[in-house]
Amino acid sequence: MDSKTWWRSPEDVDPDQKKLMTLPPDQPKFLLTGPPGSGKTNVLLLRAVYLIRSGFPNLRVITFGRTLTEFIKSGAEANGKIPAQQIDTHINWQYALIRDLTGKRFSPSAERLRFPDLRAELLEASKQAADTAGVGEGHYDALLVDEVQDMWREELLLMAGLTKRLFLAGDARQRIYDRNEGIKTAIDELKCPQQQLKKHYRIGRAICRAADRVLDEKGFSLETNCQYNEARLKSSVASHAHPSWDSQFDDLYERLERQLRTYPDEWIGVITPTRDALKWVAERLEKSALAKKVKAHKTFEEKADRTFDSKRPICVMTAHSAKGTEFRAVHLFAAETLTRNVRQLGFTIVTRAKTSIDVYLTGHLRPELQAAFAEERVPEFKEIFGE
Amino acid sequence: MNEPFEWRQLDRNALLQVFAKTESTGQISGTPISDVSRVQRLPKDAVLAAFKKESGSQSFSLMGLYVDEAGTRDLFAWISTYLTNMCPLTQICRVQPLSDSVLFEKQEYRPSKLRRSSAWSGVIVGECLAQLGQEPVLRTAPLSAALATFSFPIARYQALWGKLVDVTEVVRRLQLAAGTANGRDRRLAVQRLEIVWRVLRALELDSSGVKLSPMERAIVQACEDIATSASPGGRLANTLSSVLPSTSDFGRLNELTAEERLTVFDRVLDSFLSAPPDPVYRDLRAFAVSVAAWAVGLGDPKHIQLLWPAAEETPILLVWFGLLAGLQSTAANTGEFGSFARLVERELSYSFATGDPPRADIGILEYTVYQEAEFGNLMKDLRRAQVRTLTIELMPGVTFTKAFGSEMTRATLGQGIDDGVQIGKDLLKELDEAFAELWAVRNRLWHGDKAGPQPQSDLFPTKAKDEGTIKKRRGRLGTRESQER
Repeated sequence: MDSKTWWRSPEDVDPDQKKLMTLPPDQPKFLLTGPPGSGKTNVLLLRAVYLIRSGFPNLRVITFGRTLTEFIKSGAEANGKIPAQQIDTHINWQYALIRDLTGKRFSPSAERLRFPDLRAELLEASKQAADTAGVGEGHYDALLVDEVQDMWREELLLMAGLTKRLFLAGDARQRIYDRNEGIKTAIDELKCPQQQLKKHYRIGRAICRAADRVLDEKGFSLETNCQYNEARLKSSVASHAHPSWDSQFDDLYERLERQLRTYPDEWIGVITPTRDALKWVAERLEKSALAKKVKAHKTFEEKADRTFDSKRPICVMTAHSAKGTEFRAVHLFAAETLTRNVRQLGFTIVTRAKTSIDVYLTGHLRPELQAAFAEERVPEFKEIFGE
Repeated sequence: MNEPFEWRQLDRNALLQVFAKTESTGQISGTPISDVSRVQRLPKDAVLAAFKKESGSQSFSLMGLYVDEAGTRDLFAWISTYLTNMCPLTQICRVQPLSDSVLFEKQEYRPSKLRRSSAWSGVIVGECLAQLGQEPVLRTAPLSAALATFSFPIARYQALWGKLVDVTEVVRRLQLAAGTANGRDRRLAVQRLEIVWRVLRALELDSSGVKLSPMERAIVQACEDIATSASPGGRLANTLSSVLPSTSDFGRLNELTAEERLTVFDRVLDSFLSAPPDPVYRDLRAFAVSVAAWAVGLGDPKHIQLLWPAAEETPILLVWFGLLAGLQSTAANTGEFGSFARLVERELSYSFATGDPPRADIGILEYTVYQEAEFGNLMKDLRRAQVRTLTIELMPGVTFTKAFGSEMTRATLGQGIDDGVQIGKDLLKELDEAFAELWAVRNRLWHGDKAGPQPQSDLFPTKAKDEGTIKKRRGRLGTRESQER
């Protein structure tokens, strides 16, 4: 699959990134921020490799979502430098921690708990297990945490109590959950020295422009700091209005067929705002002639398979699952169903695309999202009167 | 500083003496030759021999034999008669046409350097995929397949001797070595590839010293634009739209997204497939289609996949694409195409010292003689460095590998070595029966049925020396080609 996703040689790394990877092994805490495509996850993984090579192999790479974990694992396996079992979501990491410290498996109070409730119970159990076992900062050589903006304050404090080396990476603009305390905690309470990566290389200029219009950040623009090679692969953003989901699907299908030829061996994402839309489009794709090329992350099922398969480059998932992933081309299906947390989710979806994003809708988009995909032009005078 | 070779003209007696005491004394048989470049012809039965003085001793080693091509057949018939254990000679010393002796005048070290090495390796990978056929998987394509292409020895020749020897000579030898593999077993014949090599040589030498047709000049110009310009679209459109009007869209390449460029490719391919056959512009049109595929990713070698459906009919498309992908070396180094091309580039870059012993299984002169029917068992018994392949040295350091098809495709695995290398079991059986019959006739005539079974050493050479016997055998068995027919 796309070899450019994961850096493999020193030439891929710019001087700022190199400096961060090779911080002294005894650097106790560090916070790395930067826009999507700036290389945060890559720096974090190569920092982990650097620490392993420095004689600190007992480390864990902790991510927020399952999809991102699987995505990173696929890269780590290809790279062969970090054992895949040392990469996990913060939820699974806590399950493993409790089992290691108490010898017992954590059981939530009810079977189908809401995710925030499960998360709270798990956190409480982890803190108790650590207290009871009397473990401290020597428990891990290092913890490296990606997507820190979505971590809770208490979760970060728990992590900080278990290691002397805490390396955090995140971006406030890519936050998709309500509690906004990860980065604040890192700076204010953990007193992490911070560095921001500004340049980014992954996302095309047209996509940067759309992302900046979805979610404005005072004093920072993705487009201004874009280093993407537009001359080689021109980026594009387009929206397509359709009378029905069936019609959306026909349009999507035609583009997917073309993109499989245009971008051989590269990931293509089909993202939906809701699980209903995911189920609908995944079923249609799996019955189509493209079925063998499709891998749906069916989060509407109990134990969804969220792994990536290089033989199935079309990845179908919800916007929440897409966090942290990257695709050569993104298709936002049933965009009209994106009605909550529009700016944050919209920003996350748009910035998953490297070169093209196509938005399919039946009805109206929320204005803040519509603005991102609107064509900028000087209209004819008569158009004002609907002619 | 290496000492120069000692040159001697050897008649057959002297040659026998040399082989009898190959590296023993400080004395070398034969007539000394002081300036080998002045030897244009040799007397009948004579060869030119190059000797190298062993460091720290007085003895000399035989490094090469240079043979007048007109007398080649007779010489090898004689050698295989009296020096049976020395066949093939290539496994002892280099055996080359007399004209190659100038290449050995001085013992020198030749670095292998190609200015457009990634384009050469791209062409080799492209040809390799074209010869393999049926949507080959780059990941599993073996390096040996790339080294067995027709383009590989041409690239090696260009790197080692390109400025000293005319390309037509190496192509002639390649065609001799290819034999029936040239066209029958392979999907692309030598003749079909010559235009690609001419274009590459022109790019390598900045067009100087390479005679080109107007069409070839147009292709060279287009390649130079692609290699040097950030936006070659306009000039490509000017060059190619006269033969395929749909390529006029190349003028807007830099304004188009990759998906739009794919649409351009589809249009160009459609018009190529629907255009009436035109032998004059056939190559330029095929080149235009490959440019269109190249343009989708502006050099990303992965897009060679776009050409597979059309390559079944027109395999040269893949070769042109390989050339285009290699023009911008950074692009050619990416992905599976790049990792394969890098391996090929490494093989191309091995330098060569004229004092090195030959590494091929057999030299071109011996091969062309010994593949004839009456020498059949020599080829059958030939020891090869690798199973299922036969390496033939075309020029010093330039080797062509045969048995391509049988190595690469499952369907042909299990068959013998291909044409000219090993005769099939049925044919061998027939040959044995025919010789046994001949032997029986001879015995009846000479000994009245009292002779025992024929000695193996008599099977070929003694009779081979007798032209009359050869003709009789031909009449009975025919040549190998007629057998195949």
